[in-house]
Amino acid sequence: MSGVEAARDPDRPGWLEAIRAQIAGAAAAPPAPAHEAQPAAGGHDLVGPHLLQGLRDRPLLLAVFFIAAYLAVDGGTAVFAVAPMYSTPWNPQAALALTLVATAGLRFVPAVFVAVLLAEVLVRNAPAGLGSALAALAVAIVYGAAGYVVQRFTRWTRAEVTLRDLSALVLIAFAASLAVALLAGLTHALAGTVSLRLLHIVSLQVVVGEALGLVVTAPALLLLVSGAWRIETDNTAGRGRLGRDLLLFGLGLTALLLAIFWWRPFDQFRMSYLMFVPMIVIATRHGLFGTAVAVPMVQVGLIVAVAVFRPRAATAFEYQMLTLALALTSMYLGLLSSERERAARRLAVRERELREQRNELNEIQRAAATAELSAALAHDLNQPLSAIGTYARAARLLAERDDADRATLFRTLDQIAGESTRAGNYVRRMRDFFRTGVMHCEEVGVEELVGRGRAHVRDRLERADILFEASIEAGLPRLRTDAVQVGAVLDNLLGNACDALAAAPRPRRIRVTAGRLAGAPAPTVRITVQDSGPGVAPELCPQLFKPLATSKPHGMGLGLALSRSIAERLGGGLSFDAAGSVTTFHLDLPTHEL
Amino acid sequence: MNSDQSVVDAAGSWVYVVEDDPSVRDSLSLLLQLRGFSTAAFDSAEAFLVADAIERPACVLADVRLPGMSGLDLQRKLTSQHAALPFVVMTAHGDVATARTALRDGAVDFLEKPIDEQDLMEAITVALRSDQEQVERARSRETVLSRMQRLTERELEVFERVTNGFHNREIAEEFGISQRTVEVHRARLMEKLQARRVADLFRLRFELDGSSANQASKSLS
Repeated sequence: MSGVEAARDPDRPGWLEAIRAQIAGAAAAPPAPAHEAQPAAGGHDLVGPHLLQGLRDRPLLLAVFFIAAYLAVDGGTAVFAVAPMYSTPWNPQAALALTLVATAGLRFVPAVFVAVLLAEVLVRNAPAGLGSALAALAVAIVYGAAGYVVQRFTRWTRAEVTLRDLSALVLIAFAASLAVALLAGLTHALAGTVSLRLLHIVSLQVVVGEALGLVVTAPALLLLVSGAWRIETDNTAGRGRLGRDLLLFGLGLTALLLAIFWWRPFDQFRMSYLMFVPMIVIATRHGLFGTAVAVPMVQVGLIVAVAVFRPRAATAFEYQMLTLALALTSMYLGLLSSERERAARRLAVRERELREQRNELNEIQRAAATAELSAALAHDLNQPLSAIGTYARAARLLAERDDADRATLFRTLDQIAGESTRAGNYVRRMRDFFRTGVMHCEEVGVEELVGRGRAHVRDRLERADILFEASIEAGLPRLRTDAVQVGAVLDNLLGNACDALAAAPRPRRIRVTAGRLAGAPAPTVRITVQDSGPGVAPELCPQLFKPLATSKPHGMGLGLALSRSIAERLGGGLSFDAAGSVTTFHLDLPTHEL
Repeated sequence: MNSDQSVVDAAGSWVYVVEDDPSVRDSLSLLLQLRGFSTAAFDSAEAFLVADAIERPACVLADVRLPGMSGLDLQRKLTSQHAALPFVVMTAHGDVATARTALRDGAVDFLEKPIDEQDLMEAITVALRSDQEQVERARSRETVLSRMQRLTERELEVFERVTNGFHNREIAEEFGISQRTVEVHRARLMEKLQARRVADLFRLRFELDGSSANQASKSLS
């Protein structure tokens, strides 16, 4: 079906919307095959300029705005301009041009050309001739190509920036700078303003100045203008405190610069390496975006300081190199910090999802076990109820007869009574199963209890190759308690131990010890169950005895919560020994000795 | 519905109760006997299968869950062995899947325990009526077959051709005999089959074909 047909079809508005969205998406963000899919970034508008929202639909206004900014920046940074090629230590206007093309498209290359030409003529006093125009055209093409490559092959304007994207931007910056420097050098050499011998020296300054301008300014501009900074700040450690920290950083930077250039306890240039310290703080706390904003602040501060204090010890070029090293180091550090933070966050989300899934599964299994159990109970109850109903109908028929067979009638009535007893027995058995009713106290030896517990997990012990050690103090009194309930608690503890050991390294060991508990108010026997498993996670300890805390549903297996309530109802207690080096549970039971 | 109103003659009808729970089995047998049915009770599907003779008309009232062979298996086995003996299944589990399987395999009804007497009587009545019809059909087919036995080979052939829609002339040509002879054969076979019109022949043919597709009556004694 064609788009026109779909548009006419009132039943299919969804198709049209979908195709419109696809068209818009394709225009704003051409596919970058090497990139992995963007992970959930909280519904931000990833594509399209953010700061340029208002200018987006007015290309002419945007172009004028750009040219004005370009000229202002070029004029403002024209300190230490080295004649005759007018090479400055920092060319942020290159970053402006690159950002414009990367976010607004190749159609703005003419605007870049106009800006470069005007800057040459107005700021640098170049002759307004064909030579300048050709040079400006060449530079505009280089910036345009750089911007296109950034937009097309990196994720700076649309997604989380990776190591690859940062390296790509640095490479693009150096390549563009090299090209611009060569063009500038060639133009001047052809015009005869520089000798060919000096060419390489002057060009190196141009290269570094251009590259520095791009490396220092382009990251922040790209992120801000495209709106991608929201993605970056989403996942940083100091999220929400970026403004405050940048203010503090600015104050610290000013103090540091004053100390280095004004107070000057040592040589200024060597002192300058101190500026790595606040950069590292910002990079680790605020990741790539924080660093991207902080680096231009350092650059401005340094230029102002150098311009004001005019240090003798070093040339502007040396400070350029310093800033370049500082910018690159902190940018990579910030990126790694961002990635680490993102990875941690993703891991946390994944873990939470897994935990939720596991809990859901537990609930389902619990529900299934309950459903199965109630079905079994319903069956057992239905049989006597069915018999009672049928006998009652039969009894009525018998009684209605004139020649009533009294013997059969009585037998039938007896059957009804018998069936009701049977139903009652089922109900009692069910209640006993759930252990909500009375206890059945009997005398039982501790060895016997431990032996039964071991027998219940024998298969599991063998399968998982677990050593079972039991040491029971001689001469322990027999317990007067509900052996079934104590058995259930012991089974639960041993089952948990087996679960914990299933994935533990060999030798796997379960140790059960029993003895009198010294210092208890009443004579008490303590049965201790230990396993050589990985132990209970500290954060789980407080919830250990809460209902539904178990992660291992085994049919109707009793959780630790139920086990503890059983132990307490029997006059004893169940506790977890957090101090032990191995997982240790204590089951305390009163001996009722006189 | 009351059993007194049913068209089924309870006195001559058999209900075979297959149920492992002794009380349920005993109570059902007692109630059905009081309602006038003849009953025989079995505690497993296997016990029922080795039972000597099955009286007809009859139906089976079986629990789904039995030790060993299940009620549903018994139902399937009976369908192949015993002439589609009508089957009523019971269960103490209100289990939709089991009910569907039973009904798909041809059970007359599916009763949930505790069993409502009215439901039980209705199910038994429907089952027995269906078996009675089967018995009657089988009986009438036997009557027809015994009459057919009196036909000569040629008369049988003529019967087959006539009920296939051939004219006397065509039959005469096929067998190389005169039309007059065919007419004689026809008159004789109609007399032997107690058919007054040709339409009666078609009805007989239909009855034979209809029940010969159903192998059921063969195992009837």
